[in-house]
Amino acid sequence: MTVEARSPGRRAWIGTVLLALPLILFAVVGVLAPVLSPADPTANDLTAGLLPPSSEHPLGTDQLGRDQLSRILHGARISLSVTAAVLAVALTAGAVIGAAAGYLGGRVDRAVSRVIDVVVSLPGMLVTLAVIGVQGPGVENLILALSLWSWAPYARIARARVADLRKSPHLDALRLLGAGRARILGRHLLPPALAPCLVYASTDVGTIVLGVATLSFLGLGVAPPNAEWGQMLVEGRAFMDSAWWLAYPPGVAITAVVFASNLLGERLAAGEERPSVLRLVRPTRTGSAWPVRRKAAPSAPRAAERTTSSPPETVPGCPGETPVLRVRDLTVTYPRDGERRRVVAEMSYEVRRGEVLALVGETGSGKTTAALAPFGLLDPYAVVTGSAALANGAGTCEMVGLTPAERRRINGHRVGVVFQDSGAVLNPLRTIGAHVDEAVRNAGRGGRRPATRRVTEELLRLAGLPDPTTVAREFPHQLSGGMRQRAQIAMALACEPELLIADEPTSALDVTVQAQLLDLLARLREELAMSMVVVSHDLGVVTRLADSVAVVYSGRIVESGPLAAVLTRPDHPYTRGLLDAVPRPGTPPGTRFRTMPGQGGAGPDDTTGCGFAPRCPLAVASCVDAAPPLEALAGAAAHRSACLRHPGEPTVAVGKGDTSC
Amino acid sequence: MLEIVEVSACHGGPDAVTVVKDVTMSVAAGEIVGLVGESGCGKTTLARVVTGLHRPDAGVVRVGEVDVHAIRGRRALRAHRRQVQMVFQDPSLTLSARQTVRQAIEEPLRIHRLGDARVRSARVGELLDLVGLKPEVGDRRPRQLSGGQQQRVAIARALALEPQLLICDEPVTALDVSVQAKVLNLLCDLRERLDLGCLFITHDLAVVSQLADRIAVMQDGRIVEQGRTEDLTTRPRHAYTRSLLAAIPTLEIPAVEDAVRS
Repeated sequence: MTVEARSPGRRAWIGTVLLALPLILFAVVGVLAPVLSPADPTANDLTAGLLPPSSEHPLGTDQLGRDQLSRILHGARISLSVTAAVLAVALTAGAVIGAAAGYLGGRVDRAVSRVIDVVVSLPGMLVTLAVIGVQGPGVENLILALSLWSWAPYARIARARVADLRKSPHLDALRLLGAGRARILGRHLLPPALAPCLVYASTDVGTIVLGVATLSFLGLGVAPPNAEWGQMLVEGRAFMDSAWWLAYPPGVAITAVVFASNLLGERLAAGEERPSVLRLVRPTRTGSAWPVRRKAAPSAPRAAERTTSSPPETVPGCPGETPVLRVRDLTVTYPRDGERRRVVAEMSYEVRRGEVLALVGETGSGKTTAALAPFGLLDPYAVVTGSAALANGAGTCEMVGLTPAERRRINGHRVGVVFQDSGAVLNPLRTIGAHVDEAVRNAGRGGRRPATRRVTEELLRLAGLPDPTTVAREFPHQLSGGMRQRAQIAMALACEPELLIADEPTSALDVTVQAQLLDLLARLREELAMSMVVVSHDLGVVTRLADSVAVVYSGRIVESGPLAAVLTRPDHPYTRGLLDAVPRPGTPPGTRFRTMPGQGGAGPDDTTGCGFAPRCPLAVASCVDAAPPLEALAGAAAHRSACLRHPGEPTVAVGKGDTSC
Repeated sequence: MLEIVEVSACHGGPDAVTVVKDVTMSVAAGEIVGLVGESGCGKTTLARVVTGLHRPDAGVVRVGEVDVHAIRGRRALRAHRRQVQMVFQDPSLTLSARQTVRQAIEEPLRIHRLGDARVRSARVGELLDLVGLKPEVGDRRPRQLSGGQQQRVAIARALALEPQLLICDEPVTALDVSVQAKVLNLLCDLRERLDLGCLFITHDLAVVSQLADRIAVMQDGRIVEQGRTEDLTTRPRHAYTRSLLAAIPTLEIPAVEDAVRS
């Protein structure tokens, strides 16, 4: 597996080169045709007509005794020059017109866009035939006719890209730096607009080659006696039975160039991630990952048996109670650089009934992955192992390793999820009511439409939206960020969940809105007796809501315990660092924040031992030997920390001189 | 340094909405002034008016005695650009993905034709050092950097022309709390080292209460209260300021609840 898995990047690259090979060959042959041809492609030799392939004529001769190989090579030259000329005209005109329209905007943009729409919708071949019908055949007219409609797609691509970039603050920044129009257009708008145009051009090569061949085939393109592939096909057609070598080579050449151009264009446009015809032809490389998952993840009933049979760990204060969610040794890996790298390493946490657990950590710490992994809400490349037992009546139900169908009976029925970016979660074309209706029906609480809508309005009211009837009829963009987040909460509540997962529910919002939403979540927890997992980077935020906190660093929990204990008696140096970073009102202005040295974001496989050791002011040699276990602190069984030093004194240095982040 | 006198501005279009109403405030050299308000209150529009990207309907913006919106001529405008620079909210959107860090920081020097290649290269090195980035970061592209590093690059680029006034529009909102602290410390240091005036726009009163010398609170386009940070945070006069103060997440746990939990 290692050999196979180590080289996906190189293999993809080789694939691209293989696809490009016919095109490269086409270009080289086209340029060097006079040098490479063994004979003059138009020199007749009636004594040597219709000779089969031989050492003298590798591809035989035609009815006039002309060397077929030389004709094929010269055909490439003609196709190449017409293609190059058309592309040069179309690309230049398209990019300039499109970029200008996108940059100027307003009336110019609207007018140009309409013209582009019209030209794109015209059947290109008909336009070409019409132009040639008026102008007559010939290479120049061919180029003119093909260019006349090929520029439009480039203009459309360039316009869209430039119009998109024009709105971005990037250009505001450049204007403020003093950049003039010419510099902004030439240096910052055209180059990014040209990239997708060039990708499209690689597909266009095939279209143009095919167009030239078709027109010549119809006698409207390159005139005989010039060697042209379409022309050669016409001439060879009469001898299909007697002299196969006349029609096949030009046919193969046209097919190869057109196929290579289309597949290459698709590959360049789609990159590695998007679906592609190539995926159907060749199964996905990461397929090898799945057996690992099947082997490692125990089947659902067996796992459930295992977790229920082991005595539940006793929790102080509520002996014998089964937690709503009990995660044990959760490990999540993703493929990276041909290996599987852990993002979450053997993490264990549990959420008791009616409790709010906060997973806190920096970007890239694995906190969101750890919260979403039990519910199968990760990228399909993620492999999840370990166990996550969701309370199910008297027993438990193992979540890791469920099939999508089994999972659907739990997600949206017993577990609700609220994501950070409500703008991305809600479909901009559907009303808020339609979103919540769907969640209600999915939870099996709907019925006829008015009944469903009544439940929806009730849910929206519950989520603190004052006028649910009106809000239900509005679209996501008509609501503020806070209101959209409330609508998302209403969707999550549709199934009356026992457990609500909230991933950074307030991070993109204003402080005041954030406070209101946190109060709402706290109220809902009380009213609906829900358990919650809240993910956040801000300890200040979770203080309003959480009962217990798990601080996540580098894919592991480094400290966990009741909120008050973790906040007032933090043990792990990282927890202290996070607490110090929260601004405190009342501090004299200009006081420096206390910061941690170094930079976060390393995974559990990037370091040996404690993940925080490279940034830790207290680290000793033994810290890097093995990851320290999460141990209960003296005098507080529920408060646990994964630090060998267990510091008692404030430790993190004032970060005035520190500059990394 | 910066004087904003009775400025009103609206968003264009036939049904124009006035989003900045009669705002008067100032920033002195070496002073950090916080402008706090919710999203949509007009604070970003005010920033665009101050930098000259948006034309006000009424009022005057003066930077060092020069009326920003009365500047005529390329040369005068360029001179003004060198005085005022801006740091935006999301560095990943304001830095070009196609440029290396070094090219991005050099861009303003090239635009203003300052120095030859050697001088510019040396200046880029100084700027990287100023914002606390290692020289090797110069060869990376923005997507290879963390959010905090990207924002440092954006700050370095803004400082390349040695402006006397920096407008920061929500510069730490997109960052983790722990990274945010480092960027704020950097701004504090820069203010001291370069005697830089700074208008710091944010929705988070907590951030500016530890950073700014003075704070102005904006609601629906109007400044409802402004004053020295200590006065405003300890003795707020306007109800809106009080509600902003109440919304600040604190690390303190109510004593009663604490007792119940333990």
